[in-house]
Amino acid sequence: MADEYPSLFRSESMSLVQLFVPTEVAHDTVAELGELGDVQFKDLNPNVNPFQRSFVGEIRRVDEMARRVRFFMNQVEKEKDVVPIRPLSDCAPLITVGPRAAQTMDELEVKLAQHEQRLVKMNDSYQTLSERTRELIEAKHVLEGTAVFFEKARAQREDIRTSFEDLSTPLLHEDRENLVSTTNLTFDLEFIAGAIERSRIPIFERVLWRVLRGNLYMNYSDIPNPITDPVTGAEIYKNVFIIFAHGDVVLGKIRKVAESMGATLYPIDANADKRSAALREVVSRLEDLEAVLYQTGLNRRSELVTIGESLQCWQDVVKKEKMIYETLNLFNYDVRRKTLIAEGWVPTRDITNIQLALRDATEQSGTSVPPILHELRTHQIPPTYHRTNKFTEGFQSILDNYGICRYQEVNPGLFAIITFPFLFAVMFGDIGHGFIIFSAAVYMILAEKKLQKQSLGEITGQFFFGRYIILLMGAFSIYTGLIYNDIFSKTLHIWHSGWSFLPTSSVGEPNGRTYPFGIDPAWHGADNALVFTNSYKMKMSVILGVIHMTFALCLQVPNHIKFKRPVDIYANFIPQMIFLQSIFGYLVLCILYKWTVDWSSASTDPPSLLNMLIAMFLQPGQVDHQLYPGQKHVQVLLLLLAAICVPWMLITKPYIIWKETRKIHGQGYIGLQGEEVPRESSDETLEGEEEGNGRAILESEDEEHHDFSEVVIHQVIHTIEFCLGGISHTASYLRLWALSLAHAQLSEVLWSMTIGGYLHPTTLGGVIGLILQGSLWLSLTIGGLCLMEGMSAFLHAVRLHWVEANSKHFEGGGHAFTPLSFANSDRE
Amino acid sequence: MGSIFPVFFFGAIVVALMFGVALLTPKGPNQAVIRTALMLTLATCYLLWMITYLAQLHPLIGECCLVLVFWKTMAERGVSSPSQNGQEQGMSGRMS
Repeated sequence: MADEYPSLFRSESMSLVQLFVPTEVAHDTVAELGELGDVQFKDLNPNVNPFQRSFVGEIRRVDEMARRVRFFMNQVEKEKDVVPIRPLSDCAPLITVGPRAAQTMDELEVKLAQHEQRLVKMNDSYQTLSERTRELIEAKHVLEGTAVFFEKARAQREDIRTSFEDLSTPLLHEDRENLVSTTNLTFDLEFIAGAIERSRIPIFERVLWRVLRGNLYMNYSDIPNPITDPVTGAEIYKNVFIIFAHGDVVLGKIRKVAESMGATLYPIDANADKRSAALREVVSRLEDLEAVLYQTGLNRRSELVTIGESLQCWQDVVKKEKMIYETLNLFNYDVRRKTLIAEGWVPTRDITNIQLALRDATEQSGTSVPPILHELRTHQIPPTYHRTNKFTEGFQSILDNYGICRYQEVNPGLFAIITFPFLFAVMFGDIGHGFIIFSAAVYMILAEKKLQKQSLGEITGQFFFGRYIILLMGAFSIYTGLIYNDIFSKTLHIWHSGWSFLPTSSVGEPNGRTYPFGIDPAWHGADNALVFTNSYKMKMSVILGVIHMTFALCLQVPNHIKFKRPVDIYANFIPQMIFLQSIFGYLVLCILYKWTVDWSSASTDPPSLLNMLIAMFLQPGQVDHQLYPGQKHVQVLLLLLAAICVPWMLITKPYIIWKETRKIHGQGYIGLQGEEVPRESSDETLEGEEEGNGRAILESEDEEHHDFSEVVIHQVIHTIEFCLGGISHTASYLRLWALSLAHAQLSEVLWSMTIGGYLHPTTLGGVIGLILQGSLWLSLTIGGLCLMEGMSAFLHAVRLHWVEANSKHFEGGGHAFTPLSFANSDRE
Repeated sequence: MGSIFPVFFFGAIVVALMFGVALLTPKGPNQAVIRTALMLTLATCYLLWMITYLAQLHPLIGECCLVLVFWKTMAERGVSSPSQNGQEQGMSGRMS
């Protein structure tokens, strides 16, 4: 153990360990290790398919239990009145380790099965009952609706009768008598009544019309209340219809059509008394049914409430059990010796903890045979594990999204904790906006415990996860805002300005002072403010960029020392450094030097540095405007240095490797190609004898073979990438300039477009305008400038870290440490 | 004219502080994080201040005519804004 404490600088040193676990304690051991969350188990049976593994039966059983729990969850969620689910923290824990574990699981299984059976039965009866209720309700409506039709028909008949008794038409009396008899006849027509969905009525009518060639009389009316479908719970509007027709054939056709359209038919009697009797009966049956239904619903609900009390607990247990058995399936099962052999990666400094956990597990399970743990030597590359806390986690995940570090290489996530918020703030500098996001982050941190418990949405969850990043981003934005002297596009005037304004002149005169902190407020609102900030921010971004890249380049060195590659220091790092510094480091020095010179009293004109840099390449040895004496020679020398670095980078490393291989060949060694047979894990007898001697069961020999041509190609690509990258990456840092200018301009435009003109209201309308414009300004400031602009600055800062900085030192290609952990399983 | 002295003075202070932080951070599981964070914060904040200070040290007037027109200040002082602002129109500071 090299260090006393874990550090984020390099990933944890890992050990491959082997565990011999007696079958009796296997379950409890894995449960204990899962609680600890510090071991990543390897699959020792990669060739065995999932159905042939040792614990398939158990997994199937747990799956069945999980299905039941899911079913309960569904039922509880579907319930309209919210069924209280007791949170896991309040439940009495179900102990699934120890000697009574098997019994607990059996009991749980039985309990789940019983609950399911009961619930299914209740659901069934509830459904049948609801179905019958629906039918009865429809029948009631049909009875009532048809009663209206009959009523109407009778009223018409009365009308007709009264007209018969009108003495003014005695001559036609006889005819009228006949007519009445014909109207009487209509009541002898047979009819069909029922209910059908409202939207289908027109189609239904048209189909009937076509089928019966118009030989029908149809009448319908709306049922005012919607009818609930007991299966889907959807509300359907229906209509009552009654169709008069004549003849069995016709009626049969109507019935068929009605059925095919999903209508329900109800037998209705033509006799009014019988109809009202039927209505009474239907109503009384409906009342009975509703009482039964209510009772069933109550029972079902109380059952669900009982389930809700321990649902979370069951869910947790089932999930853990599943994870445990899936892990056990990764182990090598030795039937003869009744032990399971496990292999896995653990952080070296945690081995003691793990051994303690193993002892605990043995004690808990009540047996005396402890699992044995011992370390293995291996050539495999261990997983990369950075021990993060809630503060560093967010920063690390930004960098992990680009690539997982190689095992024990320098972790850029450590430096990103500051450089990331800083580069963000350079683009986002504004005291006001910085304060807004800073206070949002402070709120999230203060309400951390509360927010952690409730489930946030995906986007809010992301913000919450990055709360410490946002905190630092806000803090740095306030600082850069002070430097830029920007607060919501306004300015602070703290010190004496370096410019005096004489009443006689429209032009500010320098008064010999320099504004000590930040940008002189005199620039604010000046006609040529942009000329100044443009030049200032452009130079600033070049300086910051070159320093950031130099810093990133230096991170190579600890890697080369750690992995014992001295060649890389003087064949890669040194020439790269010289190349970068002789061009861009020189540019930075020139920028800084030019600022320190007082050009008003100097004898020469201030040179344009960009032209100087271009001229340095295009016309070496010529300087138009001299910055300092001897500039010609220095520039030629630097150019030569940079030029030498290219072949230096290109050739040195391949040459040294070529020389080494020749030396080895010269000593008579030949590569062992073809003789390295990967050890087969299926060879159990051999394995049984070799278990003790400290070799891993599954050892894939995937050591890289350094082919000489590969080295050359790799080096050529690396060189070209670096040289071109040096130029393009420096240019890429100019995004700091562009974004910070854009941010400042946007906030200024927003101010003047909304609130700017309304600040001194004189009338009532002006006050209302100020309030409206003020709220518009505030919402656009938060939504547009803080969120959208912040997001864009965030992405640019991410890019600068991923591409510009990481390309200087990051090797990557590691695989992340994913330990078996019950706590982590919630996140997925 | 301002002096370049503060740049070196604060530079020295910042370097001293960085050394102090490097040496004095208490041992513990977060030592590396605290140390790196504080040192980088000092360095970045100093850099930004230094760049801003230096950029304003010797304002490039004369040839480059970085001239300020500050109407608001003028108005506040009760001076009617002079009409000869045409002279600054064609001016564009030569950027280096």
